[in-house]
Amino acid sequence: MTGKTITVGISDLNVARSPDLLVTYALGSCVGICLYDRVAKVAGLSHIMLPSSAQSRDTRQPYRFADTAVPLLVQKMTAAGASHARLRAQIAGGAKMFATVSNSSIANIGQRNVAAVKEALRGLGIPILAEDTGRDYGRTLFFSAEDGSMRIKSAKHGERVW
Amino acid sequence: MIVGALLFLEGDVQGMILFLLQEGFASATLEALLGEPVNSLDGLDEMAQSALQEVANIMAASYLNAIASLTGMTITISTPSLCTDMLGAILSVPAIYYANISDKIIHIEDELRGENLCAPNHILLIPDTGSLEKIITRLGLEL
Repeated sequence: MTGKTITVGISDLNVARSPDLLVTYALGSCVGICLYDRVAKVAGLSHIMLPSSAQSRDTRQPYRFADTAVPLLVQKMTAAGASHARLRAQIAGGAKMFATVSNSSIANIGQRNVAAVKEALRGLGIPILAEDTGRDYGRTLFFSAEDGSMRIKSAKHGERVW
Repeated sequence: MIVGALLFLEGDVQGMILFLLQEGFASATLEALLGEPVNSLDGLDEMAQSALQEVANIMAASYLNAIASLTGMTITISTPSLCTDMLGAILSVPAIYYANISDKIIHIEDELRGENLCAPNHILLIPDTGSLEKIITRLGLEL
């Protein structure tokens, strides 16, 4: 039985149940966070752009920042029947797209996003089972609510499934 | 895949400019410059990378000189940084940087024509707050 495909945009997040599929496109320096409860078969995907809401004057976009999006994703998933204790994470993205940029806040943003995501997951006691992060290429992420597998497709390095 | 060339702006206008070129156009230009076929924009050697950067540099300088003379401002550009990948991934870089600052950018759509060539491309001019207002006002427009 194939489910429907739910697209998660930039600065967005969503939850799905088996057998649906969550997808987010073209993760560059952004990070995609997949959370799965394999007993309840509930999946959540968040696409964050920035590490922390602290430096932002815009309070309307909690899904944009790692520190606010991850807890909100967990909340949405538990509301959908997942158990916080059973959640496991897989993350992807945080690339350094332009190799030769000397402006450090731009050059490091991918790395800082990954660090912030890991910090947020650590704070919630959620272990990370897999990561495809860093390096220098864009990634499209498919996350299955049926079996919790994360498939990463890139323009230059083919496809891989975790 | 798209070729993105990112440059930083200094002077009367602060911000970034991002050129988005189609792979086909970039390959054809590179072939003309290097005099040898270009199979893929992935894994270019140092000389080819350098040549492509130079193309981006020349295009950026032309555009910025035009904007500078239209507006009477002084604008300098950094060396271009290149990235060949999915469009969305390339766009994530300026999007992230400017997410907190501004939600307005200037989008220039143009077409380069030559003998056997017709190549559309897109340019995103992303000024800091204040710089955009300066450009628009000097062009005699209203934001």
